[in-house]
Amino acid sequence: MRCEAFEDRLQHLLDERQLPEEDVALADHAAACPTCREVLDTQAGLFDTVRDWSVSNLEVDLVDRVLVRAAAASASTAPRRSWWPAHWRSSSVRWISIAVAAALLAVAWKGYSSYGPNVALPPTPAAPQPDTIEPGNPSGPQDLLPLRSFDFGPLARTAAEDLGSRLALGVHYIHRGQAVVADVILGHFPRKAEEPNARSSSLLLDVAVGAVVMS
Amino acid sequence: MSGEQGTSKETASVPEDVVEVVEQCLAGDQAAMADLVRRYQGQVFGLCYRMLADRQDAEDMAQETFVRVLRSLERWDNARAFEPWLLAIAGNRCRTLLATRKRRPDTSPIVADVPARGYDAEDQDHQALAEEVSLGLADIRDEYRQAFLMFHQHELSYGDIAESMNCPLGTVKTWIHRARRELIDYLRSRGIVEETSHAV
Repeated sequence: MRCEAFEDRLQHLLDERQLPEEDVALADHAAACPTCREVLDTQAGLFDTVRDWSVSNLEVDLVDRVLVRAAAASASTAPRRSWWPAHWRSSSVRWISIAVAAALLAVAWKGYSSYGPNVALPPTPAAPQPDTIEPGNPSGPQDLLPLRSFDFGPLARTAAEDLGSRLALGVHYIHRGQAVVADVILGHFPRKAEEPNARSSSLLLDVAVGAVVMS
Repeated sequence: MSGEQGTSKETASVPEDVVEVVEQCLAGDQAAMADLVRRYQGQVFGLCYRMLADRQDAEDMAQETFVRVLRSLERWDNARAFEPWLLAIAGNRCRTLLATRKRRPDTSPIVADVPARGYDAEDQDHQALAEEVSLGLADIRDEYRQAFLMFHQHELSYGDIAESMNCPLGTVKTWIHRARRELIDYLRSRGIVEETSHAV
């Protein structure tokens, strides 16, 4: 037997949890090879020593400490009470609701734009300048749309004015009022800080808030 | 040595009482949690102590292990042995602490566990060997040490160790072989040689 074969056989016997010092082939080689004999002598008792460690002299009882810490950990990870109704806490329901709100917004926009197919859409409402606001007539978003120049019938004009003012009001909330409206709502929303799409979720929720306001 | 085959040993079926205790723990039964900790604290501490070579750190890590185990018991697959899963968590906690230690200057010298009592020459030899093995183990790679202790100290099979350490069986085998080789070389370099009679 060569030294490499000795090493392999030694490892194999240890893998099989057998006693290498009782193996005749190893002993034969060890008798002729001082290095391998030293290896064989050294490993004797080593693994019994390690196995004896399995009964460790733990001087303290961990039970009380562990139970106190486990109770504290479970208290800190208990689900928070949410302001939102239970069905809104499900992310799929939340996304579906947002998608429906976005679809409503799109339909409303389409409907509004179809009132005047041959007429260019009115310009996007600009923020009122302080010096153009007349006293007693605070500039609401509905005043910013120059719908009077369109040639609508009375019924269509009323509907267009109504829809336009709602749309403008929605846009107004999305761009200006969201800091007040959406943040109050989002402050109660159980959003995780590490959630990667939290930002886009917030934006979509803002859109949904705008759509709700419009409707 | 028991003659039990380490490579071919199948994953032992989980004793029913362990499954029952775990189910009670999941139901929030404090007595069952205490039973679980009491049942395995010696083994967990034993692994932590040999991994960390520091009693205080080992107690802390054993405690941390049980807190984690109780918190994640629902993730344990009761078709698989409980002990390897538990020891894997303990081993991972220890390796995390060791990695943290390596980033800091070493302030805790490795102290072998010496009982405060007189003992005869044979005990002294055994104690000297135990101390040297502790020191030798501290020098080998963390993964090797964990696998080595799981095999030789806790007598888990290669399959259980591979599963709990989440690596191929061949890798575990290599780690344990290297750990043995390094440990034997260390003991030889320290002149720790047990005289044996060879059947020549």
